[in-house]
Amino acid sequence: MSTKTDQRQLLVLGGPASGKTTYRTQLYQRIEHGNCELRLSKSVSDMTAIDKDVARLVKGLQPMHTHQETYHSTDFSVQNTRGLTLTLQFADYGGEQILQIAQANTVPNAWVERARQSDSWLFFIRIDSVREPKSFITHPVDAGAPVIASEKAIEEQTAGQLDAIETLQRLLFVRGSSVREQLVSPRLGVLLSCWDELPSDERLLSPKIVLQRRAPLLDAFLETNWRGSELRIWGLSSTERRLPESSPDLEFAKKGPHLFGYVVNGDGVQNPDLTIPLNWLT
Amino acid sequence: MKGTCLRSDCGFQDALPCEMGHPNLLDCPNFRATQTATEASVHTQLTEDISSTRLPWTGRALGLNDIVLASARSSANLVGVVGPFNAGKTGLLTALFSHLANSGSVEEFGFAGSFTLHGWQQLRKHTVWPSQTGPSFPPHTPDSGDRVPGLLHLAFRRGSEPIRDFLFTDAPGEWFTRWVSNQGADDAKGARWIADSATQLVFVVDRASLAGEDVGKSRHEILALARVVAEQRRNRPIIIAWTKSDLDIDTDAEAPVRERLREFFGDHRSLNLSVRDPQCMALLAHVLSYSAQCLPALGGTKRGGTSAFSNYRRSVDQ
Repeated sequence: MSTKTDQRQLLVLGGPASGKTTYRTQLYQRIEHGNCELRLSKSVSDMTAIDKDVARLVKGLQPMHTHQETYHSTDFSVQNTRGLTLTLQFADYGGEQILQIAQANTVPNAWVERARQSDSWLFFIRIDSVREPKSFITHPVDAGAPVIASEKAIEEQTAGQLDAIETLQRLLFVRGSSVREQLVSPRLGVLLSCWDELPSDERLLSPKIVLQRRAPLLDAFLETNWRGSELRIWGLSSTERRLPESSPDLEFAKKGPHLFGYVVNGDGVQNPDLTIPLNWLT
Repeated sequence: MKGTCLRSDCGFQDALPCEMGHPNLLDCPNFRATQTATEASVHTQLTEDISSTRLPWTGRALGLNDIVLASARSSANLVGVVGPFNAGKTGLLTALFSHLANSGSVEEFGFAGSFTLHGWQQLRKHTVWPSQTGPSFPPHTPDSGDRVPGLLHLAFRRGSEPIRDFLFTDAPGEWFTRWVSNQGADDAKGARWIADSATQLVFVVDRASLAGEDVGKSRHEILALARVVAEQRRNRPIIIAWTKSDLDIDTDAEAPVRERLREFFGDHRSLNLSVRDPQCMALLAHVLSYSAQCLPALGGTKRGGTSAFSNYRRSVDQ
């Protein structure tokens, strides 16, 4: 087995409430308890960034929203299934920063550096809230539709998958990665979070098909611009259920967070090992 | 940011992006910043400039200076969308994007990005329902004296082939009206630019306009514009897009117009389209199928498809 130690920089991407914080907290739970593709080779030396989130999760409460200005990284010393020992830098931040990249005319230089120096990207998309808006051009108007959406709501609805595409385009540009040819770097993992909140018939489908149905442009953008071997899409349910903010889920707390959550692979099969995407990315 | 560039071929002085592809000019070894008194005194302003990197696109429709974005990485196609006032040019573009957003692909071509996502979104939002004002087509494209129309961008890729870039003109119909009236008119320069620069043309005809009370006026406008476009076509591919083809319109005027257009354009493709029918994507499929041709010299820009910028971008990848 190799004893080589490496430093892998992971760029975690995802808008507000896309599941970054919960996943990172559950990732810690998983590698602490073992039986995963990624194994903890050394204890986490600086827990300050995730302490509060872990404390809430073990009580059966969902982690709090990460403040907009926050950006903090936690180092996990892990070994992957190829025998590589490495330090995985996993950052969490307020997802509004990603929205700003998509919507402003500039990219903060801190993010430019992250885009340039990262080895792989992990993109969180809250899939249950992604849906193409209905246009009279593509969907016959239902005159009895009860909801009258505000202009702002329509803006947000139509922006959905477009913001995700714009974020990726912009970060690729500042990284210096041309998409003239298909990309081999950075390797990209896409996590369709809140999988458990999808309608039951959709949960039976593969993540790729669900993305194609709910965000066809984004799906095509990923498929056309990344070489097939460098792109994977998983479904993700970090806790298998929506945890409350204030009144603890006692059953969840009693059994322990490490027994909850799964990823859904390309064949639509659930696997409780939440480290699978990270093992592939490293 | 103010300054000078040591490269004589850099378009920076013409407000074009850095020839070497640096979005942050301070990163370019050829750039020399000059600090004005105002900049020096407003420290916070300077700090803001340095703490973030300006992107060469905003998401809104592109202008002449932005063409390099698309033409630097591929032999971009400029699709001139031409038609009389109220022919439905913008509505047709909106429909193409709306259907594309629902499918992600056009036959074997997959969507590969856009520098004008915000521009497309602004068009499409008018068509969304339910809404407070009710869905509609986007409002009429404002008439302006601009030299170049707004350009909407889409990129596609077939399999693992290199990316292909397409720019669609979104021009007000008044430009073409003035152009037909006086081809050399100063306020028709936007229409002239489209006619000169397009690598392929889409000529939009609203079938319903040949059925109303103004049939005589409509027929005249269509044929007058078609004659001028045909004279300046220079063997470029042209598609005639007949919109509202789903309507059962009783019009005796249509057949003679079709015949005249065949005489004007000779070898061309004619498509019967309905914006509500996904089959209208056939137009996009035909546009994509035409082999890419290099953009001709565009309004004095210094670059073509093999600029130092594009060479630089490619070298970054290797």
